[in-house]
Amino acid sequence: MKPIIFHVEAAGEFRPVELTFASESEVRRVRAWRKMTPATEAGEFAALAAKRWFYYTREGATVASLGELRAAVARNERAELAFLMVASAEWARRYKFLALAYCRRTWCHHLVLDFLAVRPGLSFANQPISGVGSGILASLMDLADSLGMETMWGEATASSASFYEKVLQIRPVKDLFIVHREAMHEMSQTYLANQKHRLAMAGKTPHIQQHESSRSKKAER
Amino acid sequence: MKAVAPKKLNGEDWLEECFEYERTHEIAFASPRALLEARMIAEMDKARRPHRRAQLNGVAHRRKTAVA
Repeated sequence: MKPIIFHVEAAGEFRPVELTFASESEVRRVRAWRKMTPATEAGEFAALAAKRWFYYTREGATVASLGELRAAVARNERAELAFLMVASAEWARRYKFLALAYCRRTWCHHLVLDFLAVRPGLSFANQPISGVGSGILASLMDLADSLGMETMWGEATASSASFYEKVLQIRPVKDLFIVHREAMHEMSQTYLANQKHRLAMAGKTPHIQQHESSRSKKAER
Repeated sequence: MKAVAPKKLNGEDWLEECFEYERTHEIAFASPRALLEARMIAEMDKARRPHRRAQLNGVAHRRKTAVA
């Protein structure tokens, strides 16, 4: 499977980030975020998301690739499955992972976002890296759309509601956000088009990739 | 549950707003229910782990010395 690629802003440039399904060894590395000092919420959430992943893996309820997800759903269309997505970048190798998202596929084929954490203090050339969180959210919408999911939802808190309001363009977001397929499709497409436009303006070859399956699915429509 | 329809997207402004938000806020979010469940799993794991006795942990076993 090709990784999902989105772009973030780092040191005044638009740079690519890869989003992939985490394997067991990668989840172990994510768990190591808890050792970061000073302790942060991102570190705590990463460790807890990893714990949860291992717990569900023992129950046989996690997947570590898109192929596994499709196969598990084909075997049992009511399967409840969890997976951890991790974001990494070649140009920022000193961070093994820039961010993570813990997601679930529910029995009725909806996508639930349980944890979203960007490694605190990310920087490149002494400047902050921004756009990782929104890139992950847009990529998850594209993934859900490509998998034919009707809805993506999650619980919001007092601190996360404003982020979801901004990225999902839903106002107001209270303790729950719900994005239906049409909106997911529109947002992921707008996001990708915008990134292509920015890359073109910067004189770079656009190498934003929509999810492979997404493209073929959309072609079928 | 009622989902609110998204307002019309305005391309570049939207992305710039998102980037600006991320420049100024930490992104570390958890669903309260997921967080509760994960904490319970962590506690269960802790409880299940066998308690190591001191002598199994490289610490010499202290013996009573006989008084002559």
